[in-house]
Amino acid sequence: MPSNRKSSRRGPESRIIKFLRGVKTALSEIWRETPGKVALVLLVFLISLAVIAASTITPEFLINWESATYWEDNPVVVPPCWVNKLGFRTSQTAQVYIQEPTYVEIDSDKGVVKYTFSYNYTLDVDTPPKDIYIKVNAPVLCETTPDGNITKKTPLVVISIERPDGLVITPWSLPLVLLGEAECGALLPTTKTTKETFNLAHVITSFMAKYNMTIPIEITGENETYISYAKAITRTAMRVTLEGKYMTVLSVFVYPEYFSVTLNRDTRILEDIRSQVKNLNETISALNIITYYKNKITTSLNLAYNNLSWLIENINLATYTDYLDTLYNVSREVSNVKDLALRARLPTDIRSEIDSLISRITRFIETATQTMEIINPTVSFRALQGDYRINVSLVYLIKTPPESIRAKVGIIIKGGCYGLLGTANKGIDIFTVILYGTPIALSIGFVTAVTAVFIGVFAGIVSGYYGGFIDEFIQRTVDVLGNIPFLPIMIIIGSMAQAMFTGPMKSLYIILLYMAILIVFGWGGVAITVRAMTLSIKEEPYIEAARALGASNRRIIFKHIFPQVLMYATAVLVFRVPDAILTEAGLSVLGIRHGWPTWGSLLANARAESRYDVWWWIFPPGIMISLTSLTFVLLGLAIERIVEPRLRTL
Amino acid sequence: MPRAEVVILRRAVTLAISYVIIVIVVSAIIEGSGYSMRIYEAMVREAVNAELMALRRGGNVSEAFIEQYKQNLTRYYMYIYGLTDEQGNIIPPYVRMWNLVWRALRFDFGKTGSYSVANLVPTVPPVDILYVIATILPRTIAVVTVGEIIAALIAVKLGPRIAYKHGSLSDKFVVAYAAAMNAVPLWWLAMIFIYIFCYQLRIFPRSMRGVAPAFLYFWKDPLGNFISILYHITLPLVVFLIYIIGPWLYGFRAMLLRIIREDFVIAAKARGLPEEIITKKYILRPSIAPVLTSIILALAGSLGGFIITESIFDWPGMGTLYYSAILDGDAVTIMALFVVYVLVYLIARFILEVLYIIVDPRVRVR
Amino acid sequence: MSEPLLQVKNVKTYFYTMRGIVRAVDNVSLELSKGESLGLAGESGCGKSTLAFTIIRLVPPPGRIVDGNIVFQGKDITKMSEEEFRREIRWKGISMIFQGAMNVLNPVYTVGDQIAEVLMLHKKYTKKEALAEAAKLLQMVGIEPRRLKSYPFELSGGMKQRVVIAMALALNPPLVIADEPTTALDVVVQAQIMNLLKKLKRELKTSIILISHDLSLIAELADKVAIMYAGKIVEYGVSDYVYKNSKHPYTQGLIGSIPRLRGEIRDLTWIPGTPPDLRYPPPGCRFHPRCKYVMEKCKKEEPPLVEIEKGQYVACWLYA
Repeated sequence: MPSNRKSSRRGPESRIIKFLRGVKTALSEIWRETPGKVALVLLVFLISLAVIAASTITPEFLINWESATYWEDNPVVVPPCWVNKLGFRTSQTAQVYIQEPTYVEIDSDKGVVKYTFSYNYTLDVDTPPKDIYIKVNAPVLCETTPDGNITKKTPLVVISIERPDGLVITPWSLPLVLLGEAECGALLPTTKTTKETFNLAHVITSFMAKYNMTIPIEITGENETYISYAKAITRTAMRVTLEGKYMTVLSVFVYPEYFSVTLNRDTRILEDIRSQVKNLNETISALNIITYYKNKITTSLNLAYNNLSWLIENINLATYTDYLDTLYNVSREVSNVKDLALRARLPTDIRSEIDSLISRITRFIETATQTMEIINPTVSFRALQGDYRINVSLVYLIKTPPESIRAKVGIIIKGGCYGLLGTANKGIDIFTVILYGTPIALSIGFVTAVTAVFIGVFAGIVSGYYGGFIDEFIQRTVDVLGNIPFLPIMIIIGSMAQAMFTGPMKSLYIILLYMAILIVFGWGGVAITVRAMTLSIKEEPYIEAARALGASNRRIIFKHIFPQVLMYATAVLVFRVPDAILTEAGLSVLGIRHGWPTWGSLLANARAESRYDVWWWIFPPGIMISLTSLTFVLLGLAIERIVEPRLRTL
Repeated sequence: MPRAEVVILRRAVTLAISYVIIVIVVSAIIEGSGYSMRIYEAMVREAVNAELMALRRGGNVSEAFIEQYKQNLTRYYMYIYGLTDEQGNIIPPYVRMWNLVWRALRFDFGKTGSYSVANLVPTVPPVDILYVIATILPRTIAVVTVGEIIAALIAVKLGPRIAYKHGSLSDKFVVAYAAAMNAVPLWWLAMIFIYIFCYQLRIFPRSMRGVAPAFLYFWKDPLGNFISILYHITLPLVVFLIYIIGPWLYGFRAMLLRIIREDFVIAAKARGLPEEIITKKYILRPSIAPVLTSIILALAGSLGGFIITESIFDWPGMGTLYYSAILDGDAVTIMALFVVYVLVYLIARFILEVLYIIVDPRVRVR
Repeated sequence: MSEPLLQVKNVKTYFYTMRGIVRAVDNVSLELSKGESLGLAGESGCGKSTLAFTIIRLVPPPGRIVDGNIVFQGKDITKMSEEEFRREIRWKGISMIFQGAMNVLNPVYTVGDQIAEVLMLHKKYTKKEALAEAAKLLQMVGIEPRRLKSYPFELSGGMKQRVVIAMALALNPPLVIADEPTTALDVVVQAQIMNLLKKLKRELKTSIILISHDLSLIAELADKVAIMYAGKIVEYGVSDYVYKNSKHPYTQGLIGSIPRLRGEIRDLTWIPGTPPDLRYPPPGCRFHPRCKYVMEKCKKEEPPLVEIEKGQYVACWLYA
């Protein structure tokens, strides 16, 4: 009779190989169906992201990622730079650090050397960038004097910018000093340009010269002094706009597009003064005083009156000169009148009237010569598009300078876009946080899920197999746990944790606490189902057979019950991974922060600043959370189908 | 086998015991851990400091007087906030905890002193907690409960149709949609919709707080307030529906598919019974028990609102109430809410038990 | 010779699964006259149940009737619309007794309601008339009429199976398909059920197709026997003849494995190997890997079903 049995030619395979083969079969099963395919692709993507992130993350990032100084060079809340390709144009961001000079100029006769670091920047949109500053770490150079002493030399930092309109401005010129000791060639601490050190006057002067911003003679008249007043007022107008709208430093990138000066043709104040003069005249005329004085006074007042009348009637053709001349004349006349009034011993009330008139006129003159009330310049600026060349020069007074030096010159121009995913508040680079959030999210999710399911399986098997008191106890515990509201407890504990923990490991402790609570609330459901499975497996005939053969409880559990439960447990485990991630994100968004750079914390920041209108801030973190959850949901579905073949035809 | 009444009674007793244990555990967490005390202490400090600052600015007071005043004031506030008793002795956390438990078991809800909580009504403290809950509950029901009901109806209507077209495009779509909604957090979906509809399209207001007066003063102008309510609930309701319909449809479909595979359904088909009868008597009727469970539990659960999503919408509902109470350390309100939820849940479970007995003959004999 | 009641002509039913096409019923033909009973025998998984479901058009997806036609009472029922088939043929013309009556009855309705349902639907009885008729049916299968008010879970396995039989007979169809009606029942109940079936055959002249893996059961009831293997019919003919003069090696193996009460004492034979995977059946004769008479031809060409004697058919190269 032919024998059916094949003798096993190979020896017993090691368990690891069996396990790996099982995994391989499982993976190919999962790959077979569409949800499985999608899930595995996503999983590979996430894991590679996590590995890349984990290998480049530093603890310093974890601690400092929310400090403004960490992201200081980034523009704040700007979209990613690829929006430019879609037609939404923004200015570029430049963060350039140069270590070696672009060129060197040495003048040995004068003993001056100039190391210049250059950078070209192009502005191709109609809005100027958001900020510009230069950071310099210059070296201390040493010179040996004839008598053998070593003197330490620090440079003068001169920043000049060649603009597309041909104008070359030098907005900053900062001498550096050495405080304390330093080695030759060592770098001085960072000097940063600010708007306080910005030479705005110089820029304004350059604008006025370059753009021929002269006020027409028809407006000013010919008096040189008055023209200089007008110029000063114009400069003030420009300064106000540049300091306000362009934060001072952005004047680098603008030009005066529209400039006009008008003279205020409103005569109300003049008429007011005139009627005051007239009233005064009438009052004094009615007085009983020495004719001589009266005549003199009246004449002066009449003169004043006529001057004012002339100005008022000819206001539309009058120039600034006319205006001021008139005012000064009137002032003189009325001062004259004051003198005369004193000598004529006019009553006090009249004299104080004269005084008040004088002070009124004086004040009006002040207004006319110092404010934009009378002479009214209008300047509007526009972004200057084109190529800029930024030259940062370090100037040393040194007779035998080195050919070249090592310095650290940083040129930061904050444009309207940055990076792959843009920036959030404080300039936080969203892509970086998304990247580094990946390993954090995956670890949290995975560890929580594995632990909870592991405990659940263990409890379920023990509960179902041994029964009795321990079964009741576990069941009641799960019941109680199931009825405690999860989210409120998390909120309470989260708030307390924020106050309780301190120190550098605070974030880690908070996150570990979250995970612990998730595990405590998570093992129950698994335990109940595993218990049910254990109960039904326990009644199977092969268990009875095993017992009859003398198998110990432990062996029965591990050899028969555990492998079957494992299949279900794997599916549940995979489903549970997103829970922890979602909970952490949800708590962060509510305001209970742990401090680590997770996807949820980005959304929490968005909420704190109420910036739901920034799509590049709220979409990426949510998409990552959803994608990760989706991966595990689909993976769980695929595994579930393998475990329960009845569902396979779905 | 014990009779049905005995089973129900046993169940009720177990639920009651569970309730007591839960109340104790939650009290322990709120009061026993010192959470509530901590917050109240902070509030006392703030109130005292504010008065002291005002006093100092008034000028001309000696340090000694200030010190004395501070002591008295602190003692006063600590009594007002319930941190000390009349003699000025500090009430330790475990005593506070047992007070809380005792009151919870007696359903004595009392008043709340929390500003954030009162603000939601809106009114000022002290205010009766039951009043607060009664005022805020309709707002949550309008969105969440209504949403669940609509979703359940859609699922019952569409579920069988999709389960029949098994393997087709609409079937695959339902599965994909449910998976997606499972993965996306509801509150993020809310953010996206706010971005689209409040900022880009500017149809809806950014904050939904405005719905409170419409509910509060409803009868003063029923039509106008009704329209205002509709306007305010549209966006949250739509977002919630989109989110919730996925799991409903999927759950229904899975249940129906399981039943369709049952032998008695195939046998019914073999007997030449028409589709409508099979759907009604062989698919829906045997599955009524789990369906009812889902619906009733969902309705019971809907009373809790959604803490995070509500805060995104700035919707003054039960979730926000819970959250405000927690942040303010308002233990009485937290406990009251909690009691209400657990009670509702227990009552729902109880109703289910009774319904099971009516609906499923197999349960009757067991 | 009157027209045959049922003619199955070259029917193919395949299942299109993710792992391949399972050819469960591969070119099967048979015939049944009125009042005749046919036994359909074979190992588990050979396609018997699928054939039964094919006849009543209840093949579950991903299965489909791919080819062939089935003529019942002169009408081609494979080409009928679903609605017409449901109204005219299902239960009125062909009814089915299912395997494993554990779950064949709706758990939330009483037994009486379920039997009455069929009568009310197809014969338009009123509820009262239907329940009266149902009571009679229950008596016919040996169950007390008071059981009309019982729920399925209140009945034992044997009683449930009898209810199922009662239901199958409610409309007095000319053809009843009994798919493993006694599997999962103990031998005493099995005997009762078989007696019931025999009584029906005698008294009502119902044609029965009895599907079973137990040849001894088929021998009790069937006039004709068809032996199925791997989706194909390998031997077919009058049951006496098949049992006493089985030609196909598979049939011989099957019969040889039944212990007999009488006759000489001999060893039981058994067939080595396992049935093939119906996705990738062996080339040529599907039985050849397990056949002790295998020839080269068997491995290459499939033997056709040939009539070797009047009314006896075999598919084997030993005879073709």
